[in-house]
Amino acid sequence: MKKFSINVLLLLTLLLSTFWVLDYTFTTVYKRGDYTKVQWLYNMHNEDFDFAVHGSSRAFTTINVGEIDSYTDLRGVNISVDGSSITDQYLMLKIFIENNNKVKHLYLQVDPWSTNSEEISEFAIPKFFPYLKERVVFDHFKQFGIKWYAYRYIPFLRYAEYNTIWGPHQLLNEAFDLFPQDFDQYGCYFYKEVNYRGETALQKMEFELNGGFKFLNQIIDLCKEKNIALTLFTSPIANIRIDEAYKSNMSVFKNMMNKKGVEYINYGSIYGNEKSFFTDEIHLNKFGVEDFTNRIQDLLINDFSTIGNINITSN
Amino acid sequence: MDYIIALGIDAAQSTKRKKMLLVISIITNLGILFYFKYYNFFIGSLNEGASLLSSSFSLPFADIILPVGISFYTFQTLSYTIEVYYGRQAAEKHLGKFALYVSYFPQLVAGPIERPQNLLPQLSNPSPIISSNLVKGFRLILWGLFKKVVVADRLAYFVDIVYNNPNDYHGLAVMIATVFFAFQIYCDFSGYSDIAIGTAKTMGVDLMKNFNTPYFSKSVKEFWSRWHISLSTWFRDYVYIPLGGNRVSVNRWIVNLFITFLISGIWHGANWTFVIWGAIHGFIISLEALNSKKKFIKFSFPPIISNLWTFTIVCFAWIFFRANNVGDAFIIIQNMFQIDSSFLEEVKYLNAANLYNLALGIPLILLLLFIEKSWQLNFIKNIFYHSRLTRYACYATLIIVIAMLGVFVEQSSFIYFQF
Repeated sequence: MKKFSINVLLLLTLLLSTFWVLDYTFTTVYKRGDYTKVQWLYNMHNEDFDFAVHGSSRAFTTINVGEIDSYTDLRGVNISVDGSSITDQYLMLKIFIENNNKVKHLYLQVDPWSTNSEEISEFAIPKFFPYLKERVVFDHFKQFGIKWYAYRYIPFLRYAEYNTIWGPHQLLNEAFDLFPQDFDQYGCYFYKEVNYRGETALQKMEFELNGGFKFLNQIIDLCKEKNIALTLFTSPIANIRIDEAYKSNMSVFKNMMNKKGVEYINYGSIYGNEKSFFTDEIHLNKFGVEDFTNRIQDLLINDFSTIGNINITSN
Repeated sequence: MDYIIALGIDAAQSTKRKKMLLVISIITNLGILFYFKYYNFFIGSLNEGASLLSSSFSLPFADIILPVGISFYTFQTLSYTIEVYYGRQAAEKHLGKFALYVSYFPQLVAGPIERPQNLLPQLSNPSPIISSNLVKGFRLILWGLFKKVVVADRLAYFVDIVYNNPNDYHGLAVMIATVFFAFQIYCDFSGYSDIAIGTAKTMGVDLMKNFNTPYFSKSVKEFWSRWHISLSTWFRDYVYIPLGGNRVSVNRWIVNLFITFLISGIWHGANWTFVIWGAIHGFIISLEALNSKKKFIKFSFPPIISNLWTFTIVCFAWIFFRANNVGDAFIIIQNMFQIDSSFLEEVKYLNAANLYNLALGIPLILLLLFIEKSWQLNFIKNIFYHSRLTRYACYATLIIVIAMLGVFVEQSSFIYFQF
């Protein structure tokens, strides 16, 4: 039994050393890459923007920042991360600011029915793994449980658990640039599918407005602290059931934000049952993006005109 | 209840009383199994039948949560009472030991389905924990983990894409998905069995071998002597032989074989897909049996052809096992023969991760086949046992491969847990 224990100990030491080397290799290679939105943003330093669009895929895929940029001469960026929740979006904004990037006006896409969430997104969190040992990232994630300490201190554990995302395939991709990033230079991604073939039934949006809105409030506070103007908006959704409960909840949310001095605009139901603007029930297709970008552009022109800071380039 | 019934059978003087007690045990066990597993299937089929006859007759479904592993421990406890009835096993007087036999945790949810003669004496006289058992046990656990989280769960991605969208894939894509499923289910189930056997081994308990490189079989009959051995021997001993086995007329023998496999299909799940799967195996085994008697084919094929033929038949049957319903299964079969469709055109819409899983599938299958076959032929075994350093290098490599290629999120439950 003594010999067995020594052998097990030797095996564990060998494994620990190997995993440490693998962890170091994966982290170094991933940090150099720009395949995911988080990597791309992490490598952005000392940039100055007039406006930034932020949120989940509902901001990542619905506004053409390049189009606005060319029409208005306002320098914009889309810092949204697909699949992210409000908690991840708060972290992303913090990283963006910590990297000494500056922005005058932030347009944050929020869905009032889920903005109360204090969950981290299983889909988005692995994208932060290469940066987990950095203070700002670890300080954020450690509040979500002891497993984050395990990810931080046990070498390679986080890459092993999420190797379907950060596996050897992604390592090869980063090292040899096999698959290029699929978003444009402004950080926007647009769906190729044009036809929405989903349900025709109207969807009831379920609200829970009685929570603390912890991370939304932290974003609001951060913007105030950094002197960033903040506008919240809800991107269009196909087939919302506009009943009394929906109207009342949206009005309560708008009042709540107004009390905090934050503008909120609801574009959720602007396209009603018009499927030709959608690629699925919550994401716009290229026709929807074109129309919605014009609306956001009008909003931007209005916002920046009030501070006398805009040149319109006629198309 | 089986504890009391077995004591009753042991104490009973008359065969009639013994038989009566056995019948009570069988009816109760199968009744519970029927209620939990087949009641809603039965009601659904009745209602469907009635609607086909334009009748408004409709029975309500029951709100049932299926207990995990019910098919396995029902068969294990049935095997106990049957063995006591035949006098091949003495009734266990210690309730705790009997309970441990029925619910022995490593094999409780998905087997191997143990016989009382093998497990009860080992539980009654437990071995001390010794290092050689620990090494053997952990080695099996590690190999089982590799098969489950690396091979089965990687293959599952492409299988799920194709089988959940049967209209979108044709020809080669469907064939690859079906072969992937054959190895997915093998690695999933045999991986679980290895983990169960290995866990028991660390505690000094030897469970029965459940798989023996089944895809190297040269006939469907041989396949069933290598696949889920604990279940196929259960059906052989408690269904096929009591029906008369092969000691009857040829026609009756064929019927016995077909019935046994049909029941085996039903055991796997409450769905017509499993019934058809069992029927296909029953039909092919019956043909093989007929051929062995009547010699329709008077020459023997080269082993590699027999291997490929058997594997093709088994894969064809797996289509029904995996398809979400019978309709999907027929769509998949129809699409499979549309070989003019472009494989590259169909898979080009997969994301990078799924393309990677698809590309990784075939090397993983080949690696698995190579390791298992060459281990069986002592080719790798000799190298492995040559020095301790080699063994530990193998363990470390396997752990690193599991860490780098294992699937630890999403679709990770064992397929056979549903049975």
